[in-house]
Amino acid sequence: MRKKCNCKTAYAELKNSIYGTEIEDTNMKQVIGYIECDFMNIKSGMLYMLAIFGIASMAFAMKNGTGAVAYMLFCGLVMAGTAFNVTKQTVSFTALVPGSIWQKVVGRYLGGVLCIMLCAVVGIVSAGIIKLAGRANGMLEIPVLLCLLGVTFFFLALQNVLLYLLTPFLGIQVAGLVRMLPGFILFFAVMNAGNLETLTEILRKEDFSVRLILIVLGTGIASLIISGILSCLIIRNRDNE
Amino acid sequence: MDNREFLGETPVLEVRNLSKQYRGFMLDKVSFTLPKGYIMGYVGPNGAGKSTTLGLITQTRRMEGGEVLLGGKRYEEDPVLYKEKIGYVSSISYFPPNMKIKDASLLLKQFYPTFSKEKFYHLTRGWNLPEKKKFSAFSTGMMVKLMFAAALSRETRLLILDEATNGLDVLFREEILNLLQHYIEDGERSVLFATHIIDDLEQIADYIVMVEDGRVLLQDTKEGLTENYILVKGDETLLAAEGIARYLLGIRHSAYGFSALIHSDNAPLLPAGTVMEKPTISQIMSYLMKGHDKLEI
Repeated sequence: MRKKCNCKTAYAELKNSIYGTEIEDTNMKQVIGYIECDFMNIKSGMLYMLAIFGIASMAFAMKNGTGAVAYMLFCGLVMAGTAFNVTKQTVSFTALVPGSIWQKVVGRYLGGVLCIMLCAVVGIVSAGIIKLAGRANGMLEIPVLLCLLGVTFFFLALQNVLLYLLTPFLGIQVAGLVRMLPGFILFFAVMNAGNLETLTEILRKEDFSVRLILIVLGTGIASLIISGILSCLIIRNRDNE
Repeated sequence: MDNREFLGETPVLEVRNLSKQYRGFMLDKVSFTLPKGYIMGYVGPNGAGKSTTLGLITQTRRMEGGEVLLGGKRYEEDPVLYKEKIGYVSSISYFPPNMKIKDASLLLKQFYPTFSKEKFYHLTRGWNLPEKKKFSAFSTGMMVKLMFAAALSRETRLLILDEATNGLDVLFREEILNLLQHYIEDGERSVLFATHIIDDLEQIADYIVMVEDGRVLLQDTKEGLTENYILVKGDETLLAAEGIARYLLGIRHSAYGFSALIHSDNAPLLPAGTVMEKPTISQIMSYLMKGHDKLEI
């Protein structure tokens, strides 16, 4: 009688024959490890930033809920950049542990996305608190929020590739300025009140809004992928990475 | 290093023609082999290329030439298992300074399949490492203990020490040396100990590799080294003896005469009145590295 092919067992046996031990697929484990490593490095500063920026975002929420979220997205971008601020060690922990270049880069990028999403949630909560207190003057609009996320992802992509490229060559003060720059451009040049009102008006035209959201979000995600590939190429021949 | 005496057993570490170029320094075709169950001292002055070599072995630096085999396998064949097999301890911490012991335990568990949290806490608590302090507040000795705990809590095959005993107190250095002896007891694990402090190696090393300016100067068993070289001392007039000076290595002059190293095969050439002593490893290193222009037999 012909034996039924159990693909899952066969794959596990193939992996065991290569690795020699019973271990699961390690790709996601390593990526999650690198994310955890970045968060552990930045967690104390991150908590302060969330608290201070969160309270400040409530002032923006009094004028417009979207403004509060835009402010927190700026915070998220800056927070994502602090992962590059870790003191350069002779041998770094991330270089010593098992993991490939792409796993490290994906971990760094996903960590940045998580920072941004976390800050977006804080911004939404701030707007909600002000709304509940009856002080809000404007609504938080979801289509606008999704477009802002897409724009922020685009800036995260630019920021990360810039920081991967320049961080080894910059002094501490200059590196700090370079880390803050994309966030300031995002908030003051791109997400200022005038542009937000224009965007809101455009997105209220229902026939166009869905397409615009998909384009902006898609561009943001695509730019993260391209930026990640570039970052891998930048650091693949570097020592201690 | 000859493996024939090890009956074909795969050595723990094989380094073949390792090369790396930096501005003003080149690691030039470094080769050596470390069999199972032994401790190898990798010695040289500051800037000799010890840390560079270790960085290439641990894959924290990019290789430009040569290859490294760990248990007969290259890094590319299985990157996770390769790094899993290596424990690394240095005088400078590689743990991020903002972390605490609990964070380190979580991360090590994430990256290393064979990491044992119970063993890690057993070691850190046994060494009284504070669990509530950040690593930035740890002393040098505490950080070294932490790195040892991290390395010994996994199923490693090679323990690499990069100047790990620098700046440590005598008691803890003794403890480390005992720990290393215990580590290789099962005959399956080995230690590569890079240092410029030879006193530690005099006690425990089985093999010595000396490097200077990125090149291997010599490599031998510890006993072989001390048997192959003789420290000679004598009057300056003895130097004038026929052709003897060209066999002397690292000649030093003082008010009382000269001292130098000579290969034991050339000892019969020495004239009467020459004082001969068995040198220590640190003396061999000192004389060879200050004047290594001649190694002819």
